[in-house]
Amino acid sequence: MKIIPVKPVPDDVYKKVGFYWYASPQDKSYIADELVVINRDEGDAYYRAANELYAMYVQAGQHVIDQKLYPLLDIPPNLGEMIETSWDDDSHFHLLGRFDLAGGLDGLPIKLIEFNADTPSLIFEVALVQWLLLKHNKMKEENQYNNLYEAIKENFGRLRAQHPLLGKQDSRIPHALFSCFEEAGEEDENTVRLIEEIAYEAGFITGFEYVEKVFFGAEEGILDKEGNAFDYWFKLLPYEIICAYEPELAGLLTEILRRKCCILLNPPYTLLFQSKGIMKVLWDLFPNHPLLLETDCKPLAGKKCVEKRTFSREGDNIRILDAGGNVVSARDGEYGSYGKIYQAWAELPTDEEGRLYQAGVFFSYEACGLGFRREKGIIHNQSQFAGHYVET
Amino acid sequence: MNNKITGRIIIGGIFFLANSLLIGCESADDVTLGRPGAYSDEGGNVMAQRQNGVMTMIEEVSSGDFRIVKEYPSKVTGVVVKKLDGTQETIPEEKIPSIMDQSKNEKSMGVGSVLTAGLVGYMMGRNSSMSPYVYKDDSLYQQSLMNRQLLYKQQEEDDKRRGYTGYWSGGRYYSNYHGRYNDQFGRASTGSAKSGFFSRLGSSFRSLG
Repeated sequence: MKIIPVKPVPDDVYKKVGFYWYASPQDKSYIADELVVINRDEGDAYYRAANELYAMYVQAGQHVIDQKLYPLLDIPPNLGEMIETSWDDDSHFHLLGRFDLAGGLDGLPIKLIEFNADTPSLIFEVALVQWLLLKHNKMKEENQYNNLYEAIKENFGRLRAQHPLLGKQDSRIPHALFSCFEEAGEEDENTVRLIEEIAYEAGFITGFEYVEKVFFGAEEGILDKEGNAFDYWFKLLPYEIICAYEPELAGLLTEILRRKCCILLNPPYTLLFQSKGIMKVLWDLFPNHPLLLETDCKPLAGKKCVEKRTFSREGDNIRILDAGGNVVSARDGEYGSYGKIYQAWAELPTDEEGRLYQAGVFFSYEACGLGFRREKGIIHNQSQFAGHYVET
Repeated sequence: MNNKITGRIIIGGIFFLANSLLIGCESADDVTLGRPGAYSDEGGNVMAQRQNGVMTMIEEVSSGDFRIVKEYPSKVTGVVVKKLDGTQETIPEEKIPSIMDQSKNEKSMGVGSVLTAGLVGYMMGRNSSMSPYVYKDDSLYQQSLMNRQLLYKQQEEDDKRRGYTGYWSGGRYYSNYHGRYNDQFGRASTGSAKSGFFSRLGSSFRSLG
């Protein structure tokens, strides 16, 4: 694979735009001072793959609902109604998600690793940071597959258009509340505030409130601490966490959806896509599809594979098993209580220093932005982010 | 991949801000009329500090003659000027008034004249009625009229949340429209609503994937 060195953007610039988590431990920068070089064909292939995969996820989601396969996905029963209510109503529009893909470079086939459909990270990095690297190094912004900011903005427009009351020409301006945990840190908060900013530019009236201070009422809907009601609530808060830690809130949200008081972003049905259990469903529905890796609920006999938990994040609770079932690499984590799936091993592009590269392709109505994470081993949340440059 | 990536500076206010911050770095290639100052304070969450504003993009249509090609509400106020020779200037918020002041010396619709007569001029109290002639076409003008109304509503909601009751703060904008939409956006009762969920969870949890 080809990578090119670039001059790093001054830390001060990152800080001032709100990108605080650029520094990583081990005395290395979180942002690589190199760009991955791809050609147009490789970029187009990522684009087509993400669009095709999303269509497959929709079919798999319908299959899960029809067949009531929630246990396979580790989804608790008390989230079923919320999922189905949002699934059946077109005004619950999926705002954005990120596919993690293996391959795509050096002639390696593109393979789905997972879909971060509910609470994806890397938004700042893909939308802004890699663009800044281009600008700072006098490269043309046309040499990057990066339409993420605009795509999210356009999707907010679609959200409004799909709303039964707010979609009309002379309707009032929609109100949207944005939330994360108060102590979640700058990464979560600034990511949420960036999405809020995009919604504001898309013509929404916006507000920000920490999750702990948001009011939830079956009749009132979702309100900030001043008592303002909102039409939309964007939360950087996974549904499975709501269910596990605050089941009463899960019940309230279900009632709020039932009464059409508020629309949740991302919609509850994205939990179907977020669960790694759905990759078993995908393999069952589309066996041997070229974009999929064989996935099962038990180790793949005679094949190197990766053991994952259905709702693990950031590379935690992963074990790599060789063809004989022996553990060759592992990362611990706090997701050990979730069920396991086993996914066939996929080759990742590798540079001369032995770093593996995983592509992240954002989807917001369509594929809209590309970035890479790289690591010598299992990729996790502090692995370096590497931007890209499209060679023409 | 979807390749609608030209003109990103104006597509999002944050891109304008980031680009402005790059100005002054030795490798920066754009021309600026000043340093951005609105977000340069150290400490605090800069994302949270952003107030409401308006982004404006203008183009040189003939030598020395400019028109507005895009305007929209943003958390950032700024102007991007595209010139006939292909160069691009970014004008941060604090430099806009002085550019407007130069309009009286312009012999045609220069940058100062266009800004003064557009939405940003209206928001800064430089005109009482935006001119349709400084827009590249009528649809842009009509869109800006709608954006003006949107800005008021957005600002009013922000003021309400912050507990402001008077005119817009900071001396950037003026407004006498407070209370106009109160009948439409009345406060809901929090009588039976509950809050405090996740208060016992602690700080170890991260929600991103």
